Amino acid sequence: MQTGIGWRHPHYGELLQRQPAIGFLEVHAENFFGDGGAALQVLAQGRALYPVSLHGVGLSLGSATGLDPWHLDRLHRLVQRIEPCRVSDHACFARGNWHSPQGPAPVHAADLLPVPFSEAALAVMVANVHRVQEKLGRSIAVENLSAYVQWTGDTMDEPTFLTNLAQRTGCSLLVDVNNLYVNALNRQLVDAGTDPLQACRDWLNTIAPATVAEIHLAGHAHCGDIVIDDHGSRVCDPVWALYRHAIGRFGPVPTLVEWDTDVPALDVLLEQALQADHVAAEALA
Amino acid sequence: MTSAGGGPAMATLEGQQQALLDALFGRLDATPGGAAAPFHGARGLQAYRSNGHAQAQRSLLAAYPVLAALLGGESFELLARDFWHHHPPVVGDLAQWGGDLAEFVQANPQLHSEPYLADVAHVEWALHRAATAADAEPAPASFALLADAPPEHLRLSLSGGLAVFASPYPVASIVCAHLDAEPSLAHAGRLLQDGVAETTKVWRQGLRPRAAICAKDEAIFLGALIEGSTLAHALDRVPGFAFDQWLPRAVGEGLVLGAALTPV
Repeated sequence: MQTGIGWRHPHYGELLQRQPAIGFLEVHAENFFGDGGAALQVLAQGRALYPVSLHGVGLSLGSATGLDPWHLDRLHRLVQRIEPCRVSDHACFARGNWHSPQGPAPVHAADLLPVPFSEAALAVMVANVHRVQEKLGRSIAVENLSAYVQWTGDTMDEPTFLTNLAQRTGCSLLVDVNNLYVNALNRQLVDAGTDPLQACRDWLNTIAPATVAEIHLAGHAHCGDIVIDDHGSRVCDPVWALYRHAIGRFGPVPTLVEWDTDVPALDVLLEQALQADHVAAEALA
Repeated sequence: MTSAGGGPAMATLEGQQQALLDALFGRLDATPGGAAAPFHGARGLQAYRSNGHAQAQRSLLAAYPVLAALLGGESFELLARDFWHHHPPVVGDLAQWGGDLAEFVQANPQLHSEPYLADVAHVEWALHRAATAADAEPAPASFALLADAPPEHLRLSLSGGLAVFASPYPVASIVCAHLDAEPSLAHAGRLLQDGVAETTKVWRQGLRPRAAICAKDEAIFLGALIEGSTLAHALDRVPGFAFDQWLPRAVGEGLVLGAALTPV
């Protein structure tokens, strides 16, 4: 099996014991920023069995206030320890200042907040990605978001922003197909005339295949007036269709099945990963 | 090397990002974003806020399970949400967030009737930190130095995350009753009613963070070791300390890992 799975706490022991045939393990880098302890030991055991993809959720590559040197140092140390097959984070920001009752104060929102698709935001992200890559001595992959607010005054679309980012930094792209679909569904809630699947295909068709290093698959939640990328259910049929389209366009790209909320039995993740392998094989046939 | 510099465009971007952060972390009763906000999507803002609150609750629950049990689910959720807005994270690893909760609890007028809660939080944060402290391997052969070198030239190697905390409340018993079921919750409750004071030691036994009652002389001795004192100086702080009896137990518990010569 080539597809990887997100390795979360409920499956630490079972996966090490069963050692199922999977392409790689993905973990959230920040969960292993400690100096020592059980989590790092478990990760080292997993790394002895599988390639590990370090996926960050907190670098805040789009922050105008710049990167946090502490965060970058911890990531660097972890990369040296684990020697991951890939390092990735998101095209987002979380770090900045806010007007606290005591005055301006630094904050990290611990979320994946969208950046405007503007030249200024692109320049900041280019600078920050350069800094990360120089520190780590390797290229990283940057992932497209599910975004729940929209900035006024965008000057380019998301694929153009990401394509420029890749061209200017040499980073690769991590294409989250579920995020594309969630964004398209939320746009449809505002404009019923849009076709979510076609919008996602158009997005995928704009991305240069050579820039794509990884694909993410996950489930999402329909909450009536909004669709949330909660990574809490099986991959839905439209996302499988988009994945087939993506593999047909990008080729055999390493793929991850993510599940972070209400994490099910390990066998459910393995079944989803097997399905991803089958869909990819069909797309490539 | 390229860096994120200043300039008018950058200032504008920083202002845009600050506007969104203000909307997320501003007063709970404030309307997120306004007509002049550089973004739109009120329902999305609500989703980000809800996710922040859920993250706060999950993160603090991982670090403070005893405090959560003592407060109950609903009160803990409100505390987590309030803390999120008053002391938001400043780094991108939520395991680092929450160290100020004890002071926040202590300052909360609604919790003044339960004054031991802040001390429980202090001990739980020490346990949380010990869990990810640097690993240190036991070096049993090094204890031969205790026979070969004078204590003025020796230091003891201590468990990662070792900390000592004195409280006017039976905090060690309360924490251990919840985490280890020893003593019983009823016994810990009686100690609290009786106004028993306890000092707690926190350390890591192998990979397991532990808390236990710490006798007064042991607390002074450990405090000196934590400060970096030589064995001789630490023993001077507690005349009559039964070091020979204490050491085998401390080694067995993983509290002391070895001995080392001090640099001459």
